[in-house]
Amino acid sequence: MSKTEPPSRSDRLSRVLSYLVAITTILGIPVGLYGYYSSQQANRVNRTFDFYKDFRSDTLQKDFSLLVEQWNAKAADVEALLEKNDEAGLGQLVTSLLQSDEAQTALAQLVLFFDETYSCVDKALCDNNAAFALLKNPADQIFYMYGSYLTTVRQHNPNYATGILKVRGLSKSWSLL
Amino acid sequence: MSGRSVVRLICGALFCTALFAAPLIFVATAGAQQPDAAKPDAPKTDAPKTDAPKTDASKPSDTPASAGGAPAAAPAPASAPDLKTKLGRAPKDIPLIDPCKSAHPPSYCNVKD
Repeated sequence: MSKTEPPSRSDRLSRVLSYLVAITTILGIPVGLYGYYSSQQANRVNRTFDFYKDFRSDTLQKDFSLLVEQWNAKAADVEALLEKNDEAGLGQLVTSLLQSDEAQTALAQLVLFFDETYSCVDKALCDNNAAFALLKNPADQIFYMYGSYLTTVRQHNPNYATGILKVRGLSKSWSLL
Repeated sequence: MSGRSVVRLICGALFCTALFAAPLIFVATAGAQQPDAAKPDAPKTDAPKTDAPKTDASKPSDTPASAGGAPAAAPAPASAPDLKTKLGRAPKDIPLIDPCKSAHPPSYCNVKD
């Protein structure tokens, strides 16, 4: 019969320490990874929110309001054209709204803004879901007001106003974080 | 510690990593859904700050006050055209008509990039 010696105090301590090390490692790796990816995600959301703040800044709001006001001023005409299903007439009306330099500049600014925004989302520097929540609606509004003009220009220059169309077409995506 | 116990410890650590990783991934997934739900709140808090309807909203409260403060003016307008008729002018940043939602939507409404 071999006699088993009771574990010494140092053995017990080293075993407890090794368990602690193992537990810390086990918990630390996933938590650390989660923290890292969360911070990356938070940065993306912040960047998207910065774009939203830009959109709500005085300059772009003036441009947007100008376009909306022009559109609303012709609301009755638009309604009549829609009732007649006169798409060509609607196109002419929209083009006439964009005759002034101010309106052209306003639209150009918004087109540029959405191109930049989509570029950010496309390169995963901005968050898709935040862009969807914050900027899809304005892009939609611009498109349904001036879409006929934008599509006409896009027939000659397919890259024109891509940002507006892309942001308009954003959908909520599933993400781990 | 013998070699066998070290192997046992490493195997245990790997097993536990898998065991802990599963609920953590689950938590992470649940966390992903919360910010999504919270995101629309951000514009909600900002919207009153920047949206022009704020100024428009203040107008109806003035008009009914001068007209005797009739409670009928308090409910929000159901649609944008109604808003226009009540205020006498359209809101600055809300398009009144969406051609894409009309009975005959123009063909450009279907354009997707």
